[in-house]
Amino acid sequence: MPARTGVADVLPLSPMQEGMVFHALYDAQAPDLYTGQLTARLDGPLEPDRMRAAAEALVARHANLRAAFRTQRSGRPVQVIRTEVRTPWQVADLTGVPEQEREAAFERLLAADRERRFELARPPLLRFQLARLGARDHRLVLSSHHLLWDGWSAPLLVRELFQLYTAGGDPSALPRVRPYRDYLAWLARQDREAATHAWSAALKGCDEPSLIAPGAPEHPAAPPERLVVELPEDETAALTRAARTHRLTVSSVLQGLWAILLARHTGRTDVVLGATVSGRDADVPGIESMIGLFINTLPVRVRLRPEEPLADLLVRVQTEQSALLDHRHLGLADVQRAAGHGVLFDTLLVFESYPIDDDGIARALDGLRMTDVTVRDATHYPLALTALPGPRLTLTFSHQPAALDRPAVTRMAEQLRLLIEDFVHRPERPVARLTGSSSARPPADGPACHPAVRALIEAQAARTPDAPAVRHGDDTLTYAELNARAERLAAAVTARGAAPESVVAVALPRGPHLVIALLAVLKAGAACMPVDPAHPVERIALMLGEAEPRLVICEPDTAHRLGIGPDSVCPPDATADLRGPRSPLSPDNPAYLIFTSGSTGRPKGVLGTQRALANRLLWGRELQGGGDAPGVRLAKSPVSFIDGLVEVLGALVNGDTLALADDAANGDPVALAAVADAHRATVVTAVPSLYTALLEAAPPDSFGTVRTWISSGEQLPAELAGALTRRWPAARLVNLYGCSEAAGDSLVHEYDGAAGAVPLGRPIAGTRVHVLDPFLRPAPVGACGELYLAGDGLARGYLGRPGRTAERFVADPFGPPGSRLYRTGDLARTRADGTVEFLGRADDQVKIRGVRVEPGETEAAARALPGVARAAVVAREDGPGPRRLVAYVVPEPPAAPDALALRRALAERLPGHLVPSAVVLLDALPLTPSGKLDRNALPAPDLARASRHAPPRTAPEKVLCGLFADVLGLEQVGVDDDFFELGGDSIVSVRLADRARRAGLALTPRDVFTRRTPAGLAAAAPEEPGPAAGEHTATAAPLVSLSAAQLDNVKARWRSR
Amino acid sequence: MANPFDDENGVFHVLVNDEGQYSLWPDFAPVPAGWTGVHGPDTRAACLDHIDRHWTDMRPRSLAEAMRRTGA
Repeated sequence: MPARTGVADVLPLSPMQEGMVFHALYDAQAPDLYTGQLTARLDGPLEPDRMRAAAEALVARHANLRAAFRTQRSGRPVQVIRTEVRTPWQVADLTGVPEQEREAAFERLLAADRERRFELARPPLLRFQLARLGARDHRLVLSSHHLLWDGWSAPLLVRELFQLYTAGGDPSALPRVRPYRDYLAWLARQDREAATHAWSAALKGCDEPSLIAPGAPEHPAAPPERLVVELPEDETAALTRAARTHRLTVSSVLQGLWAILLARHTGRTDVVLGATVSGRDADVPGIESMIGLFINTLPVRVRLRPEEPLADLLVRVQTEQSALLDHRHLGLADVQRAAGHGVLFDTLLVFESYPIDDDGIARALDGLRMTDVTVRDATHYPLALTALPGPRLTLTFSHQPAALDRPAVTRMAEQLRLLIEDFVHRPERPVARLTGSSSARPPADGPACHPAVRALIEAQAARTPDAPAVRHGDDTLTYAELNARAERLAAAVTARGAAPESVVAVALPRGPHLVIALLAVLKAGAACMPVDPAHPVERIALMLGEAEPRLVICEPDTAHRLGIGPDSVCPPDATADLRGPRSPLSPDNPAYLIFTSGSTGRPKGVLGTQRALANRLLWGRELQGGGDAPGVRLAKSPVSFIDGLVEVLGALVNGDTLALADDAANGDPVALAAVADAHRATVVTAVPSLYTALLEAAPPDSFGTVRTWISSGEQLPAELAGALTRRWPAARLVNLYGCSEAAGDSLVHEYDGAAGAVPLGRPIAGTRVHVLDPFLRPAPVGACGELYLAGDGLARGYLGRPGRTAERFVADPFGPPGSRLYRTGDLARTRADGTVEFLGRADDQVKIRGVRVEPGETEAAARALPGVARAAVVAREDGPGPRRLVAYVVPEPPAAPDALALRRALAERLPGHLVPSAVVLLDALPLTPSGKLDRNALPAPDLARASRHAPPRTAPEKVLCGLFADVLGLEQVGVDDDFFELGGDSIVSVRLADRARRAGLALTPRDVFTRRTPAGLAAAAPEEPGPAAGEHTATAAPLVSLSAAQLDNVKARWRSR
Repeated sequence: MANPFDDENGVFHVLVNDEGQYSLWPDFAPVPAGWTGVHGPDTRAACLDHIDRHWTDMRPRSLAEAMRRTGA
């Protein structure tokens, strides 16, 4: 312990200091990222004692270098300036180490030094080390907390140190110091209200943060990695020239280009990046030569307009920024609060423009030469770009490797360089047409010439006439029988007017007749429209009204129930004597009409072509091994869905046997197992929720003959895939992605046991996929974009809805001339190998507290909890409150978990935005007829119960309820009330932890994050006596508070000549 | 994710390909090969209205012609 010495001054903190204090305190055990290390290599005969005297004089000279950071009893954070401190000084003699190992030994010394945290309450937050590597080779290491000074200050500090060395430590050799408190006083005089107003206006309507790595930890423990790119001299000169032509600073140019990059990577057109400003434009005399922390990190919001010329955008960015010049003294936390936001950005742009007087530094040294200097520091942001101007513009990308890997950062660096080229050579080009991301145009093949679907099935019937085609109960139809009966019905259908371009509805219960009817329609060249006769009459009537089918194949009682006139009805056993050739059939004629639910509430009919369906069925044959070994396919999905139709037809073009399950069996694990086992099924297609049910409820030893599980319809969770393959190790698991608009399936991935969500995969035959950004350009690898499909699978469109068709099936910039793209509305990203990953719905986006949330992550966490069988998480808006994430949990009998306990367990495992506001226990998850989660049937959580004022039961709970109410400014807080739902944030959490410590409860801000409620915190707090009341503790609470993701790093490598 | 086709305030064109198929198309993006602008720039609603009024036969043109030739 340093001896207690007098206090010279007590000062407030600058906003940046507050944010750093928060980060320093968040985890007192981990290395503090905001510890900086400056290393100078000194050549010549150095006198260690003289250098030590210089170091001590330097610290004596600058009051702010002697600061400790503390919290006053009022909760106000302050820096306490000591009148004097002992300046830590160590000498390491490495000359005893063999010469070739000395550099390595020095590097180890540096690494060990970086591990040593500074304690904020024990000044000074700096230390010197002098390493001797030779008689004329010394390295001076100055380590410090970033709270003390910024990058601008570093060369000033070094020059003063050297001047003091030359003067033998005599402080009178230097001019009087301009104290840091002058700047703090200036800060206190600024008009905070005007600034708050200006920032609020600047960020108005910005509804969502721009996060490049949404899952990245807010408090990374590891230092970032660096990628350094130097722009060649000619390119640097061209950039500077182009900027001057448009009256732009290079800094503004980089901000605008970074915003474009951000837009491509976040899929947003309204983006926010962080920028660090020097703060040296404050109206404080001599500020340019002062030593201290003046920088500030602030948001730069850029609204991109696709048609705007690039140069115009950059000028606009510069103009918008200059309007905020007078308001840059406000701290980021206040800015965020003004904008009604938490975190706004996770990328940082630092433009280093501070002067470095290398000559002055060189002159300052007596008999020594500084041959190298490096400044090492870090930031907590997933990605920070530091631009260092010079003859060659140096761009340093610092990235958290856990959030963004090296290839991703390398690609971004390359894109930025292409954007710089665009600005130099094509500044007039609209933002949406910039070249930034290089994408190879895929081969533009024309449409495939597939036979019609009927030909595929007839060819199969000719190949294996005696093989069983359909089994239903005890009935079996061979391929020859099936084909003949379908042919007879086709004749009857044709005789009744069915032909290519007409629609024939099939409304039959599951059974052989249904299969025969579907084939008959296809044989007649018409489009089949499967209708589930069990559906409500009004809904069927609605669809028939839209489709206006030429015929409906159904039983008389169905026709009666649906009110279909006799002219339009064809019974399933009808026959006709038909002579003459069939009508010619084109691949462009429709093969199916499948209704899907429309966003407007009315079902819409997707009219799919012969080419599309044949392409899907032929590819399915490849998937099954080309029909070499016919299998048995369990057909259980309603054929009114594309997956059910493809299930039936897919088996029949492959020579497989269809094992038809009755409608009642769909969704019933025991019944399905009975059908599958009775017919020795080898292939089963199901949606993930049904697989979950099979895992839970299928009898032991059932499904033993299955060799292929096909999952489709919903995202396949990794843990489900793992459980499925563990239970049935002999079967492979194939994940399919698709939609009615593209014949059912477009992407395929065979599960390989890899961790993480199972990807959608790669395109099937005849199919191309694109992940596009908001400017309709290919999104960079790994970046979120919207998924578009192209190729043979595309449907003609929506029946009778040209406008709707033209806005979903759109012109394809990447395919053959005149081809179309279908935009799925699904968000996705591609891996470097082209594999597509699903990221959610574009139009059902879930946002909680302004942060985009993947409910699947919360679901996975909930399912991992003991006693939980199934879970679904949705975002809901019940009543006037904000949108909340609600978890629906089905317990695993005999467990009877408590909803509140589950929620607490999740709060312990997940970052705040992923924690559901409520957990609702259900006996079963409601499902739609197609087996998907029925979101509309989920009950609203009882939120009143969640915010009840449950009274404290123990003394610590009572204390904590009081403290919660105190720091949050509330009348009353219950033991189960959530700190963050009551308006707490990261900074207030520091205050709460501090108050709790004073009250004798040893809690950290991290505890507040993970425990969140008075009850949770009380359970977590060891009842140790805290420091005596009235004593300062080493924490801070905000004057101006910062939220978690901000702060910055500064500066750079600063190099000597 | 802002999809440019859903932008109610955006400026659009109506494109048609050789098969007589229609596409809504945002003004900012270059017109893909094989497509021709037939309406716009205009509002989204006006473009969709144009499409609803003019795209009365949704069969590809080559198919419609082939069917006419064979008398189907």
